[in-house]
Amino acid sequence: MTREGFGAALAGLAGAMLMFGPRVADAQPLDIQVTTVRAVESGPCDPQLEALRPRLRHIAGYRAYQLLGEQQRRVAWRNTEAFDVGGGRSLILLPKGMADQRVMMQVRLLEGRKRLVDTNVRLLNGGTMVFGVGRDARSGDGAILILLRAENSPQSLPQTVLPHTSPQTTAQSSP
Amino acid sequence: MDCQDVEQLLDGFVDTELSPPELLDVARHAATCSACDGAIRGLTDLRGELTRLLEDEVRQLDLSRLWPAVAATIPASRPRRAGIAALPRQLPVWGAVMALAASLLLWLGTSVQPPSTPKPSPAGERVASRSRVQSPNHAEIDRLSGKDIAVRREPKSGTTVIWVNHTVEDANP
Repeated sequence: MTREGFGAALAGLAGAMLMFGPRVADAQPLDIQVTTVRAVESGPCDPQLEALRPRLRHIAGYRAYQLLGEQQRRVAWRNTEAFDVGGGRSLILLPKGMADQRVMMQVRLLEGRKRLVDTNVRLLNGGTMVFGVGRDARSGDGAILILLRAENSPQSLPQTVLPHTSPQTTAQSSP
Repeated sequence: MDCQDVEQLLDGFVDTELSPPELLDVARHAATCSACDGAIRGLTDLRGELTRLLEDEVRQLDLSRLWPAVAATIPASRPRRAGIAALPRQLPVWGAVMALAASLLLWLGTSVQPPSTPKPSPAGERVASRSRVQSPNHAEIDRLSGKDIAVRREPKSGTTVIWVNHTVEDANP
């Protein structure tokens, strides 16, 4: 191969990497898990959430947690997905893409048609963020926690956020 | 357009250097004027003859010894260039290598670059993604809107929590 040919081949490779490299992650599916938990000050704690209770207590401050619902879905990029989280509320996701190992998405939490939260987030791949509805334990007497996990992976559906829960969608109950 | 105009534009017409309207005007006139038509044909033939003559002259030139003579003088006459001065001659390879390196940096940068600074959030909103140590649940909030909302980060796991301070009755009927 001549020097010019080698240079052209390298330039072509560089161009191909620029064009296709960052988009590989976007081509992989995005697995979304939405878990709804009721937090209360007293009462029994859901056995499925027992292992997670210390962490939830750090987040919300309540002592008891009950699993209301869990949904897992493989979603398409740049498609809006709606998750019913009970109580007339829904979590609307619009996954936009991957950047810097983060899942970029727009998340809206609606109550009926009322928009409670509208945010653009970059969540570390495989990470979980939480939406709390109500007041934390310092000033309230109960809250709903919505745990949102997003993973961009070529492998199977993500490990469940909550230990000992079924990977299947569980029944929703109104908070 | 009359014959005098055509005479002035004759060279340009034969060389097709005139503007399209002028070309059209000359052609229209030549179609109705045998003198101008003859002049155009004569000039065209003359140029053709000249071209053929030149080509014959070039074909008769013996250049077989030219390139060996040039090649023999190149090592002696080419000044040695070093460093950056030598780059232009090697530009095809160097340029490609640099492009490849830049592309690699860009490509890898999407996975190893530190997170960009979050945009300033509107008044009344807190952005909870300031920590440099990133937890598995690290989240950055680029935009946030809503009523009575607060953003908190759980210290141990770094989990971001967006609280909607909704009425307790609605949240826990």
